[in-house]
Amino acid sequence: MNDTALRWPSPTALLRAAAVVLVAWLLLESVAALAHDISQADRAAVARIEGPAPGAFLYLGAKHMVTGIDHILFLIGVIFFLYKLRDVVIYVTMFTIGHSLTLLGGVLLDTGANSYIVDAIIGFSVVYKAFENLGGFRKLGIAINTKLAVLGFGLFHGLGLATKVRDLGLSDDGLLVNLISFNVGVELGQVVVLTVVVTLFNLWRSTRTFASGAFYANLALMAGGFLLMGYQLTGYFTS
Amino acid sequence: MTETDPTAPAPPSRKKLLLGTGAALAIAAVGLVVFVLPAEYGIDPTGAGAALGLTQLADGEKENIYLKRGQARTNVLFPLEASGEQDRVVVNEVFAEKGVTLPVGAQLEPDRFQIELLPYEGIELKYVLDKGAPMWFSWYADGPVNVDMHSHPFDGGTEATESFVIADLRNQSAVYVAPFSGIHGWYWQNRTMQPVKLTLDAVGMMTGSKIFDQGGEHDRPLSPPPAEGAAEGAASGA
Repeated sequence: MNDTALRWPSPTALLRAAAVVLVAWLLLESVAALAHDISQADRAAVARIEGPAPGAFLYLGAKHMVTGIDHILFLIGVIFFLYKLRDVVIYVTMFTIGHSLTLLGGVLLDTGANSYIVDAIIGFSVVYKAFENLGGFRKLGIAINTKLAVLGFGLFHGLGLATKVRDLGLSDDGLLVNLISFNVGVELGQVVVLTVVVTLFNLWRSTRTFASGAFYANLALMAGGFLLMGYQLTGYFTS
Repeated sequence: MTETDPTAPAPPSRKKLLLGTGAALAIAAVGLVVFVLPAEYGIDPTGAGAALGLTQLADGEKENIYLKRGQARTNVLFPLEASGEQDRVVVNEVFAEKGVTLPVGAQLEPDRFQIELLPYEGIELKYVLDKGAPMWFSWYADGPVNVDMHSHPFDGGTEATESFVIADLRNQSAVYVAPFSGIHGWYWQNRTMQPVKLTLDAVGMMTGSKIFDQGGEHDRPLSPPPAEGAAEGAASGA
């Protein structure tokens, strides 16, 4: 196993990596298309909502998390090498604190950043996490407090969520209730995503392919992050 | 390393790390240029997007069957240059300039509609016009608003809606000739976080108007602007 790590990957490993990339790609495409279409309808629905509607916003928050490929990729990166439930809880809590701060603050204080730039940084957070998982920073001799990094990128994920909420066009009537419902929905959606991802990782980790596959899976994550960055930066420069 | 489990694999060699990162970048770049940019933005430097039928997705996003129907019409909307504030015109001259002839004994009614749209508030104003009835209008907002100028016939209802302009605008001036008997007007939405004031002046053969808001549909009487107003002066020239 150690030998293969230093040589070119075997054809089967390459094939496996290609399959991972392809699946990630298809997932990205279909989810992005789906999320886009639904959000159009949601916007129209939200435009009709006046006053507190906790149920509706709870659902919308959960949906944005479950259909948001950028958040999902980041979460996959975060829990990739977390074997203990306690660690999962700690890291996810850091992420939650980060994104809740900027989600609530961003909407309530009415401060916005360019959504393309924020989404590009979210894409970068995926690249960062994949590079860290590859051991890149250790190799380069850079010490990073990974918990603080998750908190920091969480702030940007929250800014992205805040932009989505503002795009939905919340009315001032019942804003706080709706916003908090959205935030709670985001956390519920996160639990749904994590349940699936952690279960799949536990299944995968127990197999022999995990050690060799982890490298390629993180490369696929990184490619996904780069793709999101390119997509958003192009949007920024063409709009 | 203290943050992750000690069973995590040892870091790869520098060469493998660089190759891997480069491969990830290359895959992302190819995916972006071949698939994402053509489909999302219609940017297709390799031509692969067109070959795969992806560029139509970028067009399709802007395509709207109502808009397609409305824009297929000719001699309905004659845009005028908007001055950036409340326009003042002599309506008969404008009609003549655009080749619009008034029916004999035509009664031109002036109207002014003013509203302040709160953040993300929307409102719809429609005029009742018979087929062939002309109308001059000019509206001005002190902030950008998303507008859908559209009409639908009494006969056929909302299914037969035709949109003429869908855009983010601050003002719009034009001569409009009703392509069918029905209601004709605008849906404006303020998509900013600041309130936006909007004023519309219209002079034409309107026989009534309707407002559609959160409370539903309401009939609204035509209300001429104050004496020194733009449309009043215009109407007296009629």
